[in-house]
Amino acid sequence: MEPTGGVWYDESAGPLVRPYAVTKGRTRPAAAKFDLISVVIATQPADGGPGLEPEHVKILQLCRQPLSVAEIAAHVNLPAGVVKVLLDDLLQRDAIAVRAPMTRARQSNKRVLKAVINGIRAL
Amino acid sequence: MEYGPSDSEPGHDGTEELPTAIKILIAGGFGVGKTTMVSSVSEIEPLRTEEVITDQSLGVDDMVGVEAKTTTTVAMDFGRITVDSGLLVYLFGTPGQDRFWFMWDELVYGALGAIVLADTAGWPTASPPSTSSNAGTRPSSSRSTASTALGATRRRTSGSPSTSIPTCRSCSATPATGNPAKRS
Repeated sequence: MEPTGGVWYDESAGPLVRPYAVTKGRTRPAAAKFDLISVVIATQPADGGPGLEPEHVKILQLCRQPLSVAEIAAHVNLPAGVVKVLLDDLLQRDAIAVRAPMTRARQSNKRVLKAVINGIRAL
Repeated sequence: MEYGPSDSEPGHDGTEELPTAIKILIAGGFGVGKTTMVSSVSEIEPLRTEEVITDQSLGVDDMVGVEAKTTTTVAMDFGRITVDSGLLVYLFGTPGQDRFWFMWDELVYGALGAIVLADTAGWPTASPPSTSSNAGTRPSSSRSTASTALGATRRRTSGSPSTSIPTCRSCSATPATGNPAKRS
């Protein structure tokens, strides 16, 4: 086989590195459970550190502002399941704070429902 | 609002300042315009995340002929509306193909409500399909979103007025005149 010199793969070929290689094969967070819309914020500067992969650092940089798990996944271009594992790593280092989405028990709050309706109507 | 990392104590103290997120699903069959609606109402550029299906999808996804393929990815479009500094609404366009229905488990969980889009142009009869069979029964030939109707919320929320579905001005959707689904 002779190398052509050009790019021999394209977008449709999928990622060259399989997604869970980033997590060293882990497919589930060890401790915390993250929802797609759990809101994450960094509590430590994104200056790396021992044991942090480039993906961890990228997440910390993104999370200077509060961001949902789904948004982080979209920005780092990794599947949500992979991002949840990485976030769990960061949470165990106390590098991020996480707020779980509003649960059903708290949905009975009429004020919140009205705020949502008014907010959407005001678009 | 400023969320400087140095202002926050390590640990969970920062969660007090974090906004609460709620979730609204945009559901409907393949090609009815879910992505269009998300991009119409979202304040951010619509984003796309992917979830890798592994063996969870066995028995759901038809793997005949592709048995060697152990993973596949499902894309979800989503958008965001910031109601105020403490409340974020996320809109998720669910995958329309019925083989991705297993994803509803995670997407539906904790959702405040759902908007069901249906393409009335494709309905062979006057009676619309119920939500539970919407994605599966819709004829795939009808791709037009010109007469897209806004359905009702799937999840009943106590205290929520029945007129809570807002009219989407920027997309060509109109509120349904009747509740299209005969579900309890």
